[in-house]
Order: sequence, then C-alpha cells, then structure tokens
Amino acid sequence: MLAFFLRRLIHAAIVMLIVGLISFSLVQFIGDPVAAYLGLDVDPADRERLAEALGLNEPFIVQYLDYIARALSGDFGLSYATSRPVVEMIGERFPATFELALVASLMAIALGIPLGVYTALHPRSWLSRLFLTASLVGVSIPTFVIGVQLIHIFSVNLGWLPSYGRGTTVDLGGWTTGLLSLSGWQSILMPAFSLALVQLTLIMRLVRAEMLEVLRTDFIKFARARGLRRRTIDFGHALKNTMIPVITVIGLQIGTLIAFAIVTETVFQWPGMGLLFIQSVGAVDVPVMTAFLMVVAVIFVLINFVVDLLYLLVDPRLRGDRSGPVAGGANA
Amino acid sequence: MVTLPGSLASKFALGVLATFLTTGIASAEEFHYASQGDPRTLDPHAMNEQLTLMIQHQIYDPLIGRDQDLNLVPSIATSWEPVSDTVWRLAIREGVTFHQGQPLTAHDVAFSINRARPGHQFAGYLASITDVAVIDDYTVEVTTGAADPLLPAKLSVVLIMDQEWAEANDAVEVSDIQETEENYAVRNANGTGPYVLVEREVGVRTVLERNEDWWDENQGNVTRAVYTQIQSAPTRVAALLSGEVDLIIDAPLQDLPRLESDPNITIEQGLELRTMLLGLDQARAPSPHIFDNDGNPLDVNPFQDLRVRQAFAHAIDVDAILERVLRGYGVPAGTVSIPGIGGYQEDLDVRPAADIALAEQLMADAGFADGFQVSLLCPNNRYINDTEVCRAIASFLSQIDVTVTVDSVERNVYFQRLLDLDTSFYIIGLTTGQLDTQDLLYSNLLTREPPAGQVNFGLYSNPDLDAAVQALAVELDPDTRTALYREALTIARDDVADIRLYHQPLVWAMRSNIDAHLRSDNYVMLRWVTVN
Repeated sequence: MLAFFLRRLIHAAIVMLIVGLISFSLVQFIGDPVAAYLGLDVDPADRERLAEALGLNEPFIVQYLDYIARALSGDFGLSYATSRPVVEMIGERFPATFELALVASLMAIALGIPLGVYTALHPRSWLSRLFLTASLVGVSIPTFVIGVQLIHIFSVNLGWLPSYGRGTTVDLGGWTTGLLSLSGWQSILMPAFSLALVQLTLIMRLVRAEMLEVLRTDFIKFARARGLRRRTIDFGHALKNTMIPVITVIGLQIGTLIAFAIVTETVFQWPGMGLLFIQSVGAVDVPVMTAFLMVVAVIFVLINFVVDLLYLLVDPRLRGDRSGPVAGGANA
Repeated sequence: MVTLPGSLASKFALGVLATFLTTGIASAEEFHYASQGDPRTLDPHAMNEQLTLMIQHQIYDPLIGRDQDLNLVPSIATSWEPVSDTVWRLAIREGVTFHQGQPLTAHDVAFSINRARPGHQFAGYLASITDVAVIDDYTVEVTTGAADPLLPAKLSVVLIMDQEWAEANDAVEVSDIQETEENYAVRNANGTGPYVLVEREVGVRTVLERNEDWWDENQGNVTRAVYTQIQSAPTRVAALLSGEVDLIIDAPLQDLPRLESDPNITIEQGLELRTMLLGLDQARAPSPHIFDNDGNPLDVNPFQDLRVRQAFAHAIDVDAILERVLRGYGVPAGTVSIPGIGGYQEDLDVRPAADIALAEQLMADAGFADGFQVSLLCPNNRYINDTEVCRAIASFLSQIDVTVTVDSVERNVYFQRLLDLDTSFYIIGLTTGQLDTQDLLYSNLLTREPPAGQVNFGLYSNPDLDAAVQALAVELDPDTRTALYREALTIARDDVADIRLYHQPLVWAMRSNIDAHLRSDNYVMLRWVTVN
C-alpha cells in the first residue's frame, strides 16, 4: 500500500510540472498583458517599464522556474486585472463550480444508471429505443445550444427559472453555497442539466453495454439455472460487475465537468472558476490563467487517485494484488 | 346603513388601507441593468475603461460634470476661469459631504487630481498640469505648462475622492498592476455621488442605493440599482425578455428586430462617440504586409501615393456596409471629428463618393492598375461586427484588383500587433475622452512622438498638420480655434491621412416601463432613469 501511495505521488508531481510548463508556454500566444492592462493609448516607454517591472522580459525558463518556486510556497501571485491574490480569487469561485459539477454528476448518475439498467434488461422495448435516441440527440447538440434553448423555454417563455446567476447564496464560513435556498436550486437546475446531458448519455450507454455483456456470461447462466431471483441476478451480480468501468468514467467525468464547465458557466453567467478563466483569458490575466490550469490538473490527479482507491473497494479480487486490476468479465 | 357581506367588507377595507399606504410614501424602485463586461475596479483613478467609469460615476462626482448632451456643467467645481494663460481658478461647491460623512473641501479636490496624475491611465489627460494649489477651503488653482484650452474637458474625468478616507484606508496611491497587495479602493468606495455602494461582488453584481443627501437633484426615481455582468449575448437578451433585467446597453444588432417587435421592450438608439476608420502605413517602404500579385514583397509602398489612398476611399461603399453588415445602424463619417463634439465642422464631414470607376482610374494613374496584395489587421471581438465589416471592405477592394487578406485576431493579439507596429493596413475605432476634435487630431494623426500620435499606428506624418494642431493646443480664442480646426480637418481630408468609415451605433434595449436617457458616451446615469 505504501509503495502504491508513493508511486502515485511521484506521478502526480510529474503531471503538475508538465502542466505548469505547458500552460506557461501557451500564455505567450494570447497577447501582451501590459497592452491589455494599459490599452492602446499608452506611451511605449511606459509599456516597456511596466513589462520590465512585471518580469516579462526575462527568458521563458527563468519566468517558469521563478513561478514554480513561488507556487511551491503557496504564492500564486496577484491578478493583473484586480490586484487580488489569485488563490483568493480562485478559492472564491471554486464552490460555485464544484456545486454545479456535483449536482450535474448526481443528475447524470441518478438518471444514467437506472436508464442503463432498464435499456439493458428490456433491449427491444419502445421505451428503451426512445431513451437511446433521445440521448443521442442530446449528445449531438452542443452544450451552448442546449443551454440557450433551456433558457428560452424555461426563463423567457414559461418564466419558471432564472436565466442567469446563482440565486441567493449562503456563506458557510468561506464556502458559499447555493443549495440552501430556493432561488439557488432554481438557478442550478438548468446549468446542471445541460452539463449533465453528455455524462448521462455516456453512463447510460456504458451501463447498458456492460450489463448486456455480463448478462451473457456463464456465471449468470449458472445463477439462473440455480433458480436465483431475477432481482438478485440483475442487481446483485450483473450490475455490480459493471461498476468498475462505470466508476472510472464517472470519476473522469467529474474532473471534466469541473474543468470544462466553462461553456455552461458562460451561458448561464454562473460565477465559477470556468467563467473566471474565460474572463482572465480575455484580459490576458496571466497569473489567474496559469493558476486555473494548475488547479484543474490537481483535481484530475486527485480524482484519478480516488477512483483507483474505489477499485480496491468495489472489486475484492484487487485487494491482494499489487499489479493492478485483473481482467475477468469486467474491463478496467 | 347597508351592511356589506363580511368578505366584501374586508376587501373594501383592505382596498382603502392599500390606497392610504401607497400614497404619500415614496415607492422603492429597483432597477436592474446588465452588459457584457464588469467594472474592473472601484478605484476612480485606476482604469480608463468605459464600463468601469460608468459605474464609478454613480458613486463619485466628477470635478466638472456633463449634462445629458455632454456639455460641460458645474459639478464639484461650480465655476472655472482662466486667470492667466496658464492658470485656471476653480470654485469648489460648498455643503457637499461624502457618503461616510466627511465634508468635501478644496483639499480633497487637489488630492484627487494629484492622485490621478501619475497613474498610467489618466496621465495623458492630465499631462499638461504642472501644479495644483489649494488657495482656500473652496478654491483651487491649477497651473499648466502651456496654455491648455481643453483643461476643463480634461478635468471632467477626475472623480473626487476624500483625502481623509484614503489616508485612513491606506489608499493614497492609486491602485496599480505593480502593487503587491490589493488596494482598499478597488472594492470599496466613498464618494459624493447620487448613489452609495452597498454591495460589490466581483463578476457577479454591484448594488447601489440612492443617496438621499446628494447635493444635486436626482431626477430619476431609482432607489436601488443592481448592475450584473451577463457575458453571453443570448442570455443577456433572454434576461431582458424575461424581465429579470430592465435594461441592457449592448443588445446584439441581429436581435433588435425581435426586441422591437416585443411590446414590452423599447429600443433607444444613437451615435457612439467612436469612429471606425482604416489606418494605412505611410512611413515604411517596403511595408511588412504589402505584396505584389505573385506574393513577393513590394519595394515601394502604394499607400505613400495619395492617388492609391483616394482610390481606396472611393472604392469602399460605406452606406452599403452600414445597410448590410450593421443592419441599417451607424452613420457614415468623413472627417476626423464626430457630430456633437467641440470643433466639429459639419460641412467638412463628407465621405468620398463610392465610385469604382474613379477608383480604378486613380489606381491606374498611380501605376497600380494590376493591384497588389495586402493584409488587413482586424480584431474579432472588439467592435460591433468587426470581422464582417473587414470582409466587406476586402470584397469592395477586390473590385479594384487589390487582394485583401483579412487577418482577424483576438482583441489582445490585435492590440499587441498594433503597438508593435506589425501591420500595414488595419481597422480601428477611436474615441475622444475630452470630447474635442483637437484631442482626436492629436492622438490620431500627429507625428508619432508619444504622447503625440499615440494611436497613429500608420505613422502618418504631415508637418502642416502638426503645426496646425500644435497651434490649436495652446489657442484660447474661439474664432482662431475654429479657423485652426478647419485648417487641420481640411489637410487631413485632402491628404487622405486615413480612411474614415462610420461612427458606431449605440443601442440600448429596455423594458417599456423604463425611461433612460441615452448618452453618446454609453453611460447609464441612474439620476436620469425613471421606473414607471
């Protein structure tokens, strides 16, 4: 177990360094932060002086190493746009994105797994076909379009749900939550749903495909021959064996949701990290952009770690085995 | 006496009570407005950005104000007079208090001007000032290096901050990108204006409440104003349609017919003080982005020939662009000035006629009958339909055999390329914060020696124009000024210093029960907003 932890830690460090390098180098293609701050009406001497003061004339590798050194001590610098500590700005926005991703994941799981099971158990029913087709349509339409359509129906025409924002939020000592007020729930429904749609389809089809495969295996045949009840076979044995790939996908998807809620957050003006990132790109606010990319990398690394731990929980065959999941009916 | 049935009686009583309650008590009118951006800071001297200043103008008062037609009017300063060529005396209004109770005196005025002067953003406006002196509690004298006829216009951008409050909160220095910790004035405000800052959640909302003790008359009835950023255009329009927002200042042009047809929505349109124009590299030969028809760099620069510039001006049909690309909005521009600002000469505001035959003739006379290739630098998210306008221009120029490649880039990359002078041909939209033709000429067309010619990225240089504008900059006599304006504008027109296209349209969309005055600087002044 200790070897497992150490290995993962080293992997994580390497991933972080590479992500840091990539995000740092990408930044030079989005424009001059000094020009973005000063505007066009600026004295070239002033522009030069400011670039010098911000350390932007140093060679790239010097800037990168300096950034890593400060980041290791927790100093991610001040935002160029607001002069506030970047850590504070991202920390402020994190709860909104997290809650959105969480509610979206819950929606996707709560709808995806039952629908997947149903369409696996009744593959030829008209209802199954309806679900599968509708989900395909949901996946083919871009999130942006779905979001705008939802706003059009539920905000403009019906007036049931707000078209933007997070509603009334409650400050729980640093973590602002929108889940403790009615307007908060009203506000989260549409963005969470448009975010959940793709994951819902993915989970549904994955569960369906895995279950169909498991239901054809020998041990299920033997269980039926032995006279076990349908419910025990379907849920106790078949579904359980589909869980490893499903958990993997859900884990990866949560990371994706947090990282790429950008479009949904922009459409619904959801004050999360994604929207902050887009705005910082628009203002060439380099410290915020780089910090966001690092945070996303950390989230992915953490989630993958948790997913690996969950494997050990779900599949007893893995607990004694150090070399990884064993193939046998379920793929990892 | 008739006894009414119980329910009817109680309804009657309630009705009477309601009538009593609503009359005599001022109703609380909440006003929600939104646009694409969010104010970048609340520090009034930190950021020369339209939306940021708009919000700050509700909380802070300027030294010299502007009325609904953008004329200069008394605000914190009740009068301003030149006592000599280089000294202006300003009388400061008495009886004004800041929101937190401190009284306003001349010391606060001097402090505010001096606070804004060294900062990056307003240095250009206040560069001519050499000294600010407090004569007594309600008199300030401002000394300039040379005579500055536009000083009052320049002072209209200075918002007045309380010196005591700034000292108490360590905000004496203006907020700056180089700071190592957040300046208190970035998210907190204490002004003398018609609205008090109640809540500021960056990127989410800014809430203002009516200042009942304001020294001036608030002609509107808004008691509480909530400004929200809604970055996505469809969401913004949806919020207006659903009634969640009462006014948006940047409705997309393609949504206007839909909005106009809605009985609950009104559209107000006008002219923005921003002229779109094409800049041409007239300094370098060869020029970096001009090629011959085979793709080889040209060793001459066609833009240095007046006939080529004239040909370009005649080839582009601006009326068609406004009709098709801007859906009928916008006004053609033919001069380095804007209707309504100081020094505007209406008779000189005539665009060269759209005439392809004449353009072809001019090109042939200049020796470019076969045309050439050039890149047009264009932003894709800065101006209204910017890339579409550039493409339209490219198609017009193809009719005189000039192959234009539209280099459409993101706004910040566009800024960078302009500042690096990495362009031969570009589109740009320029405005004047001083609302005067002199300012436009000075920054747009003077030989580029900063602070002169700051946005003259085509490096146009004409000694006659320079002389006229330099004379204008220190001329106080109105008649001489008019003559100089006319001289400068005529030189710019005859020499085709740049190709003026059109003034950008300004369109506000609001719920029908709102009365808001559309001002050409795109500021929503809450004092003139009425919720019916």
